[in-house]
Amino acid sequence: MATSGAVLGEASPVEGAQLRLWWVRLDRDAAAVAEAERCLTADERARAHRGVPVVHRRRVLLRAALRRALAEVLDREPSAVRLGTSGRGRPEALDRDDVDVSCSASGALGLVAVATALRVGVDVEALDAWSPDVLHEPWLTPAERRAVLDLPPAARPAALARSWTQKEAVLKGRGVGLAGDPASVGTPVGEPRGGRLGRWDVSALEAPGGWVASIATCADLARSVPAPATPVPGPRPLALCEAFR
Amino acid sequence: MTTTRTAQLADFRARCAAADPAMPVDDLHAFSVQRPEIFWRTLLDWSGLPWSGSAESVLTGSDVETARFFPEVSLNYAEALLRPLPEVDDAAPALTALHQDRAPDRYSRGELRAAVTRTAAALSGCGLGVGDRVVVIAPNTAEVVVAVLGVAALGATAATATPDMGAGALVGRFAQVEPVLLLLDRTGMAEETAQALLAGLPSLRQVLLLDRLPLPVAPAGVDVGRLADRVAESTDPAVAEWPRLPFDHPLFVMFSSGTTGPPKAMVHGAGGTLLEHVKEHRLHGDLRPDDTLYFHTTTAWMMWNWQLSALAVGAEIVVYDGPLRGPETLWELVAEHGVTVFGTSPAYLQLCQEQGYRPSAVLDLSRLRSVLSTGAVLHDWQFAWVAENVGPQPVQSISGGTDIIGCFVLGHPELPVRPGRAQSRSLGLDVAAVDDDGVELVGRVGELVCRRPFPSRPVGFLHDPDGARFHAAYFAQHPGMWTHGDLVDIDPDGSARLHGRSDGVLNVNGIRIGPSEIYTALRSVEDVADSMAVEQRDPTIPGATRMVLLVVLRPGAELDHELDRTIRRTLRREASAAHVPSLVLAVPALPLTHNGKRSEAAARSAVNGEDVRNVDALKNPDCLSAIRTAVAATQGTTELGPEQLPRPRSASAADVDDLWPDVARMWREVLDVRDAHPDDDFGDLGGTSRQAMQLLRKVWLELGVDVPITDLEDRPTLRGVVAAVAARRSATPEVAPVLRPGQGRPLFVVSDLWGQLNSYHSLVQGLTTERPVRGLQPALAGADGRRHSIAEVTDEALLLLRRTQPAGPYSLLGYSFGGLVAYEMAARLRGEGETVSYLGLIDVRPPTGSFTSGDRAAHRVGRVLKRLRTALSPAGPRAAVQFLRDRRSDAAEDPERQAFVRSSEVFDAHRLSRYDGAVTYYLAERRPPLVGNVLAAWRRVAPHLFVTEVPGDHDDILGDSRIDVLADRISATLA
Repeated sequence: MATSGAVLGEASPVEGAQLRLWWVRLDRDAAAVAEAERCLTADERARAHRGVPVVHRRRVLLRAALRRALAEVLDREPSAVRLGTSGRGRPEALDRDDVDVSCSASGALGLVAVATALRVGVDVEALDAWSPDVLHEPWLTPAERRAVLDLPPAARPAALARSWTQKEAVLKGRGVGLAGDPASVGTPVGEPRGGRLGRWDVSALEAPGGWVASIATCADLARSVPAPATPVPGPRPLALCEAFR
Repeated sequence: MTTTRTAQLADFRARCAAADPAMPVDDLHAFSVQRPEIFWRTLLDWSGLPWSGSAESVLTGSDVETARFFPEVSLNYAEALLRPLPEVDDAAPALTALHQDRAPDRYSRGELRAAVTRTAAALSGCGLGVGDRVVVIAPNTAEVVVAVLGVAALGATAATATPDMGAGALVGRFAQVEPVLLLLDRTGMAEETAQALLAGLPSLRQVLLLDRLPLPVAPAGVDVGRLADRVAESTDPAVAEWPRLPFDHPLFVMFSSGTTGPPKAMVHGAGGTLLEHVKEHRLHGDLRPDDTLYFHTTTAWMMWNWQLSALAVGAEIVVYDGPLRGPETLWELVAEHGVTVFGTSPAYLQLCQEQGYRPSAVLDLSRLRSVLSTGAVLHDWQFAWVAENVGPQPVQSISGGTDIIGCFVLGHPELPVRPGRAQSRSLGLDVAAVDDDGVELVGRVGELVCRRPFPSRPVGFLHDPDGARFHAAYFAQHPGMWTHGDLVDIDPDGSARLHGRSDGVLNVNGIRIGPSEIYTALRSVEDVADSMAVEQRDPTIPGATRMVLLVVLRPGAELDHELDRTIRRTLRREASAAHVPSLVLAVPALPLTHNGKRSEAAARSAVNGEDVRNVDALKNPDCLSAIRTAVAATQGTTELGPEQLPRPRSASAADVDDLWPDVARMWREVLDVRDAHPDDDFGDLGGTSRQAMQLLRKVWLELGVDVPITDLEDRPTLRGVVAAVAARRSATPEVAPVLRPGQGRPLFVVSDLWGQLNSYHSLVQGLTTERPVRGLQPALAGADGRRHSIAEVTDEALLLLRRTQPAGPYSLLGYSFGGLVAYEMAARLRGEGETVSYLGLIDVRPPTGSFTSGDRAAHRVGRVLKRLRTALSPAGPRAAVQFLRDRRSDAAEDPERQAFVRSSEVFDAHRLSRYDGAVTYYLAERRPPLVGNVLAAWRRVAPHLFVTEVPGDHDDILGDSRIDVLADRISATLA
């Protein structure tokens, strides 16, 4: 595949559900972008073109990767995949009611997820140097702020990025984005393995150096699939088979 | 599902055909209006309702204003609803009352009958009898169903309302009723409202409480007790003697607001109400004994009375007294309780659609067989939404009114559903659209009239001995017809669509609001010379409407923040929350016709940006352009959405101009761009979510304005951010920022250890109180970095408090550090003779300075135990390392850490004051052992400490997962 790497991981966190993940390189040259652009719809291209060059490149490559990922799952051409966007910007697979998609990008790295019989949200974030400014940003809960300060400074950037990606993954999964208020999602700072956040199971994804990524899944909210009679088991480690090259 | 049922309508049609073989029954509506005597007589017999006397005389004339139905028939409404039915098991469920915080109350048909029998006997023992009037104010519970049926069983008359209405609105309505008895559940009622109500109803002899709150002080001569006690004291009657009374015997008094004068108190007869409801339920809704009906209503709306009558069919009714928490609330209720017929509103369906909620994807709705909607026009797209997201159930758009306690247009079990339309006219009601001359219009919009007598026409108005007001209200406009005041179009197929009110009455999202109550209330606001309330299509929510209040000010007055607030406060206090407009606009004049009549229609068109028809009829057409300009000037702020902003007025142009350079600089810094074009999109420029947070942090730190991320999401441009900052700044005086707008006295929350309020976000969103929530952010440190003592922080917080609300009673809430400050504020206020009506402390650990030495030792042990437990948990090794590092006390290695520690020092150095008032303490469920010492420390200084447990531990008690429990507890105490 030109824009999406190999399948990063595959897992079946719940009976009957399937989850596939791809890393996407976003630092590709103009020819690759032009090639990727061919499978996008006119609307998608127009949206990409509204952005500055780096945004344009990111939007094209990520959307194309999403199409290719879905194409693999649905077994059809990337350009024939019907991909919609909800009011809050969440991508939606329109071909199959039980298939859910999510994507994220930070810097040169993108992440794409396709899930069957699950609601999914993913988020990837580049690590940033520690700055106390973050304590004044309106997304940490008091408990998180305290937990961050309890960590040695060297451990804080990763903990913050972990917390942020967990929140974003849940909010993206819920389809509300930042309008869902990240401060309302309390995360277990300093507990890198994740856990249960409300109805969402949150796991850490093994990411290339310099990035942190998290995934949130929820079987209860799966599109068109009745809630399972048995409780959903806790998160299981994803089988990571390929790192970012 | 609907496929295999043959509607009861077919059976009834056959009965009509047998009664008059000469008249075709294919078009049953035509039959019903042309052969009214046969139709209504057949219905009475077919329905099997219990009655006595003679039904020979069906109708005493043909004039809709004066004709009476069944003058020789006697019946009892409660008997008709509760009688044993041959096809219904007495053990079958009849009434299920749901609550958000406790298990449902369930009554079988037999149990409900027994409960009503006992209640009626108790009320009879209290002296209640035929013809007495009773006011019932309660949320939508099982108790109110039993109470009202008990009242009806005795032949007394009931008027119902909800406890959250303002004292002015309650007294304005119920003083007219002249009740001898008030049945009152004060859940959600302000204490002063209860007192004002008792004082405002001089006819009262008795008050019986349905709630468990302390007995109120009653005026002299009024007996106060609890209904449950009276029921327990009374002996079970061997035989229930419920009198059958004339068909028109008063059953309910209902209120409908007009454009002039006080609300109309209309009297509905038992027979007309019963027959109309049974007709609608069985013939139009095909309701049967195996159905479960849930109609989302309150006791203040006629749909409550309407759903109650479903008991006469043998169906089960479900009632719910909790809040609508989100799009899932009612659908989950429907799925969980096997509701077959679900009644809701266009506003709720729109909410579901906007939030992307898909009931069929997550719930089992297989029992549901129809969805009813009323209260406003149900739009075409909403029918499609139900089909896609709920299922194939027919959507029945129904519309009628309090005035007829029933529907003019509604569903039909045989006809197809046309999106956007009600399927059918109500059988037996000669409903038509007419022009100004009373000529019928088909397929065109006209005035909704009913041209022949119908049984649920009100018997009359109270305090209208010669019927003059009754005549003026319905029969003056088109002689010989009932003119309802709605605009409607009716197609040749009989389907109908409503088009809003034709007179000055407002219909704001289904709530009918009489502007006269607004005008009356505003007479007490000196600066307002004149006012006019009109409906406007909400620019932010498709399909919704909102109220715009146009005010003409006295010379020299200005519609500033303060006046805007005074207007809102006054309306809330004197009328109700529903009377508070979304927007207040100052205009130079109101449109008047040449003969001096106010033209609401012209104002409404101008506010909605439409052409005004018949401008020539106006004396002062120039005022319309001023209204248009005033509306246009608000557009910048209105885009932020009605629920997010109190929207007192638009930010002035000067305010906005100031902001541009600063906000543009922050925009450039965060995005690292050289130029900032006002309409560039944040995302298009490469802005990430984290950068959005950084931008908001800069805005907060540098401009002192708290702009929520949703504002940026809604308008992700520099222009949008400037507008949001301007709007938030003008909407939230820095003294005490509004965390959530509302009506009445604010609830104040005190900022946390970081001086911030956003930790309360989830809690504030979860509160169900109508009161506003405001934040107090006293400075925690001086310019030199020295931390202020708790006493100093308390001083400043009190200053901020009093600038916002000069006098008590005050409501204060705080978490941890903020709770300590709230506590000290309350102690000071009380010492100064002020009233603190509510003080809520959320897991506030007392400062160690207040511990006895024994407490301190226990506290230390508790902390060590907590550490130890953590060390043994899977996260143990890291925690253990941390623990050791802390003990080396080099944890203060960086400035933030030091700030945190310093705040803790200030906290712990404090000694608690004594406070004799009531304190509600929300204790975290998960807590270190030996917490009893914490409470002991509190109880020593605050003897009236009421402790309630809530989920979570100290650090995550304000977190997302179980915040609803805390929010509910606080809401309940606040009410």
